[in-house]
Amino acid sequence: MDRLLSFLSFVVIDGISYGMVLFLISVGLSVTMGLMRFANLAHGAFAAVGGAVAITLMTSAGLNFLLALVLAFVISALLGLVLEPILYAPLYGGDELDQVLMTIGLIFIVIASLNLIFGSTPLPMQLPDWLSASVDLGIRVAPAYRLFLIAVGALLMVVLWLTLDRTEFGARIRAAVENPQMAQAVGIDTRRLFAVTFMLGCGLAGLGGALGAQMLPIDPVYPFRYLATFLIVVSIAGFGNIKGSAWVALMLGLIETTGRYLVPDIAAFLTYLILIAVLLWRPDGLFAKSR
Amino acid sequence: MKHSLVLALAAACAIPWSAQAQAVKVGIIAPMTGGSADWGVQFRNCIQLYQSQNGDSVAGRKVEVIYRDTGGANPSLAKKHAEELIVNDKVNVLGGFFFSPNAFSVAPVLTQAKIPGVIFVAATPNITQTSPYWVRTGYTSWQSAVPMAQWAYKQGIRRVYIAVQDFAPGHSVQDGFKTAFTRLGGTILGEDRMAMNTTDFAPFVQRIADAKPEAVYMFLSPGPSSIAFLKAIEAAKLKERGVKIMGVAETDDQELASVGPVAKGVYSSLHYAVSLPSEMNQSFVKAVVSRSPKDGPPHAGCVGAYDGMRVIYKMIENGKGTIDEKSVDSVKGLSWQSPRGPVSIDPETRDIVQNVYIRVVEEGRDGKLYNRVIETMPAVKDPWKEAQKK
Repeated sequence: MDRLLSFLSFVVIDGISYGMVLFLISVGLSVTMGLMRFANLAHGAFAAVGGAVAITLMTSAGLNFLLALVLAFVISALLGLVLEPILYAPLYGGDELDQVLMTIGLIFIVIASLNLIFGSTPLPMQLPDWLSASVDLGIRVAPAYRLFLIAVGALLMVVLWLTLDRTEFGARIRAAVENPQMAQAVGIDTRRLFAVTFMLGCGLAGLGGALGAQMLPIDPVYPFRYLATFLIVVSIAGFGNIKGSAWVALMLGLIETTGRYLVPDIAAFLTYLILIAVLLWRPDGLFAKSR
Repeated sequence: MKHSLVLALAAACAIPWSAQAQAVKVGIIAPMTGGSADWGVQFRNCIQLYQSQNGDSVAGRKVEVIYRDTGGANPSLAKKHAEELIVNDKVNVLGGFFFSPNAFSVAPVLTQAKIPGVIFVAATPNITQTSPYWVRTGYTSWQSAVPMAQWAYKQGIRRVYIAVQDFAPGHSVQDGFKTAFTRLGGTILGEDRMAMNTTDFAPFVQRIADAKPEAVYMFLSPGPSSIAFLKAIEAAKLKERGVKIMGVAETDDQELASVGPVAKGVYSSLHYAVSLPSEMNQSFVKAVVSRSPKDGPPHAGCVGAYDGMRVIYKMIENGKGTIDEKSVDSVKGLSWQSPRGPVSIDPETRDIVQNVYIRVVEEGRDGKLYNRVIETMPAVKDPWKEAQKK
C-alpha cells in the first residue's frame, strides 16, 4: 500500500511536471504553427536563445531567476519581431516545403552563432536556492523546481486560454486564421496581427527554453535535439489548439514517466507508438476541428 | 636523343632525392565540428604542442599533419577520409579517432594499405583486434569500468545499481563493471539501459532510489544527458542518503563548469586527471592552457593525441625516416613517461598499459570544482582482453 501510494505520488508529480515542460517548450509552436499555419521548425532556436539569455544574465550579471525568465521572453520575442518581416512574412501562405527549408536554414545559423558565442558545451544552469530545495508534501518530498513548473505551466495555460478565447485580440486572431480575406474586409490589419502573434510564439519559446533549462540543458544543438519532441506534441494535438496541446503534453508526460518507471526497456518507443496510432486514427490530430 | 637521355638521368636522380626531402604525412580523422568538436580541437592543440616541444621534423624528415573532419559518429565518412588520405594525400600513418564506429570502419583500410593507425580516444576494447596495424594511446572502456568496480568493492560497497545510456559504449562499460563486481562477490541490484532520447531522467532515478543501493554506477555521454541525469540524482537527494555516485567521464575536468555543483562528490575512474601532481603534468597543463586558453584544460583527448604523436615520432625514428608495415612492431613494448604517468604499449595487444586514477569531484581552494585523485591503480592492462583469455 505504501509502495503504491509512493508510486502514485511520484507519477503524478514527476509526470505532470514533465508534461508541463513539454507544454512550455511546445506551446509557442502551437501558436505559430497552429494559428498562423507556418511550419516553423526553428521554434527550438528561439527557445535556445531564450535559455542562453536567461543563463547568461543569471551567471554573469547575477540577475534574479524570475527577472531572467521575463527577459528571456522579451528578448526572444524581440528577435522574432526583427526576423518576422525579413524571413517569415514573404513565405506566409506559401509552399510548406519553402517554409521548412527556410526554418531549417535558420536553425543552422542559430546553432553556429550560439557555438561561436557560448562554445559547444552546455551552459551552466544554476537554480536559485528556493527552487533547488525540496518541499515536504506529507506523502512525499518533492523538488521545489518541479512544483514551480506545474504552477507556472498551469498559470500560463489559463492566461493563454483567456487571451485567445476571451479578448478581442484573441477573437481577431481566430477570425484571421479562419478566413483571412473576410477578416481584412472587416478592417482587421492581419499583417500586424500576424507579426504580434509570431512575437508571442517566439517569446513563449524563449520562456519555455529558460524555464526548462534545468531538465533540458541549453547547448548549441538544442534546436535540433528537441525538434521531434515539439513536433510530436503539436501534431498529436492538432494544429492551432492551445487547449489540445496542453492536454497532450500532460498526457505524454504522464505516460512517458509511468512507462520509464515500469517498463524502461520499451518506454523509449511509447511516445512514437502513440503518435503513430493517433495519426492513423485522426490524421489532423486529436483535437483538430473536423473540416 | 642525347638530350632526352640527360633528362631521363636527371629525373632518375631526382626521384630518390625528392623522396628524402618529402615530409612524413600524418592523417588525423576526428570530429572537428559538431557536438564533439572540442575533442578534435584538443587533438589539434595537443599535436601542435608536441611538435612545438619536440620539433616538427624527426630523423631528418619533416612531419606534416593533415586533418579530416567526421562531424560526428559517421563510419562511412571516416572510411572515405581514410581512403582519400592514403590514396590522394599519400599519408604514411593515420591517427585520431574519437568514435569507435569510425575506427571500426577504417580497420580494413589499414590492413589493406598496411598503414599504422593510432587511436587517441575510441575506447571499445576489441577495436585493436580488427587490424594488426592499430596502436592505442587512449584507453579501453573496461580499463575504466573494472578498476572502478574493484575500488567500490574495496570500500565495502556490495550492492550497486547500474544505469547506462542505451548505446554500444554504455553496454560495454555496463558489462565490464558487472563482470568485475560480481566476480568479487558484489551484487547488482538492477541494470537500466536508458534510451538515448530520454529527456527526463526522474523515473530512472526513482527506480534507483526504490532499489536502495549503496552505490550507483553510471555511464552517459558527456554533455546534456549527463547533466540532466546528475540533476535528477541531486533532486532525489540520493547523495544525502549516502548513496555513492560513480561514473566514467560525466564529471571530467572539462565538463565541470557546465555540470556545476551537482558534480560535487561524484566518483569516476579514468587514466588522466588535470590535478595529477607530477611536475611533468603540471607544466603540461600550463603549456596546454597558455597555448589556447579558450579551449580549457587538457583532458583525455589531449593526452591521447600528445602521446599518440610521441608513438608516431618513435615509429619514424625507428624506421630511420620512413614508416612502413614494420613500424607497428617497432613500437611494441615501447614505454615512456607521459603527463598521465608511466605508460607502455602492450606488445601482445597493442593497447596502452597505464595507471587508472580513482577521482572525486571537490571544490578547490580557488572555489572551482576539480577532480582530486584518491587512489591510483598502477599499470592496468586492458581487462577485457585479460578476461577473454580465461
